[in-house]
Amino acid sequence: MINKANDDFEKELFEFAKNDNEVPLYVNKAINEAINRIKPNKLFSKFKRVAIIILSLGIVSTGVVFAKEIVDFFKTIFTNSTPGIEAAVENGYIQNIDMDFVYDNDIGIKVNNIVRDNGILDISLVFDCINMNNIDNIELVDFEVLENNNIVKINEEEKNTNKDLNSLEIINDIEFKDNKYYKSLLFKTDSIEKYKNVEIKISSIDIYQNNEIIRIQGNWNIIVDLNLYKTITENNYYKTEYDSNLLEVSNTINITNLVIDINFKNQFDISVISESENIKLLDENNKEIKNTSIFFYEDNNSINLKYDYGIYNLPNNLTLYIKYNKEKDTYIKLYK
Amino acid sequence: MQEELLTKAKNGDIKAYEELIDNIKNVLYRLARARLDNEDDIYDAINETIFYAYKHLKKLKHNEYFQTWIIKILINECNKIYNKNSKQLKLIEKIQIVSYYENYDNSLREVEDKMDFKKLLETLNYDERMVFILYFYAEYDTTEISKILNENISNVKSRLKRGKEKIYKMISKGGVEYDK
Repeated sequence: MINKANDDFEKELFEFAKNDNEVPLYVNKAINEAINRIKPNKLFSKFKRVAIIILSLGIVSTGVVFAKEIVDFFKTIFTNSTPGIEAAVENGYIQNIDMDFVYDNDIGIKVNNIVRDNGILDISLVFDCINMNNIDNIELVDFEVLENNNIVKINEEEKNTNKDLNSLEIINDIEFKDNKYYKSLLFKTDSIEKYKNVEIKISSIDIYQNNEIIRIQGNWNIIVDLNLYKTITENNYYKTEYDSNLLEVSNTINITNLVIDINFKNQFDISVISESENIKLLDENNKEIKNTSIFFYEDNNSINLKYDYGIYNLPNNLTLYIKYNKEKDTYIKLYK
Repeated sequence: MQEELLTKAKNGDIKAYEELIDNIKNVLYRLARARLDNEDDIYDAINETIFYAYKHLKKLKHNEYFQTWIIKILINECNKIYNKNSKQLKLIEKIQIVSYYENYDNSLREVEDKMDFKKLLETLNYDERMVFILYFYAEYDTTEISKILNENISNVKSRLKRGKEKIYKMISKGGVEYDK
């Protein structure tokens, strides 16, 4: 079936076609949605949000376990932690994990599901606390996070020299359902797409119960293999309208987040622009979409804005208002 | 590898099916794009094709023709949407593309940087575009293309030749109009 090029021009065209292999985000969405339509009829007739199952390992002193049967806990529980992640989960962009609980000292831990996107990795953990009721909170006390066998994080507070994977948020809320507790670990780093696997080794947790804190020691090891799926991103997803004498804008959308980069042709007044009311992203109803981070570059010409809303829950039209010095402001329109 | 995936997919392995689709999604997209302009229409065509193909996968007797088979489903799906849309008044668009080059040396690479090659493809008419995509992206030969498109082989060859000439002319001389 492979054609041999008949001349140099054909050769170039073949070469071009071979390298022209990116598809837009909406095509991946179309494929994902079609697969989701198929899946519920196969195994999961009662619920819609089912996605790719990836390999994960729970390793303890008792040995490796691979769950064969799908546990039904993930019907409705998603403690995933940003609006973009939640919307992605609602639309099936989620990897459910096939594993048994890893038990030690009557506490079982496993990974419920993960969401991986450019810049984020959200790991939702589920805890089975045997013979314990009325738990108000569960905190990880002593733990390590490793990426490809390199330690990147020790406990919540300790800084580490490896810049990557060092932004870890442990979402404080736990959810309780079907006698299990759910908690998310959210990693935010721009390098997430390079990572091959993440291993979480937990050696003690605190259980908050009836105004007491009970510390439980154990050995719970969980590995999440990140190789099995790719992240998706699209540059300049939105078309933009702005004053090009004043600035330039570019945007990148991912499944769970939006990034906007703005370069001013002249310096802005950092004392003005850094006030929270002076940069606002508004939806079609003039409702503000809050950013998760703003980065002002040292040259006072450039800004990087990040929002935890992605392809599944961003509207078609947005307006970005910026007041960049005491007397001047500007609007940037973003539209599909 | 495709054989193995297909056998698994036919036995209900959705992950295997998903991998099959991932391997050909670029071709599916380009073909849908050749027929349909609208993002929503392309979305629907691809979505329906993948769903329909899975449901009827067991009817595929010769696994080696999987790609050909799903492409035909896609073409039918695109034609359905296109015909439905055609009932509305269609505007004819004329687009002028100016080439910045005087000669062909390395011009394809430069085109990639300074001019959108996809725009060049869009200057071809639908029949030429389909042949182009099946020939260069999906790497079918002209005999296979004639079967997929239900056209005689000389038509396929002449469309391929015309398409190449048009693109070559645009790159090397500049200035073309086309009717959408």
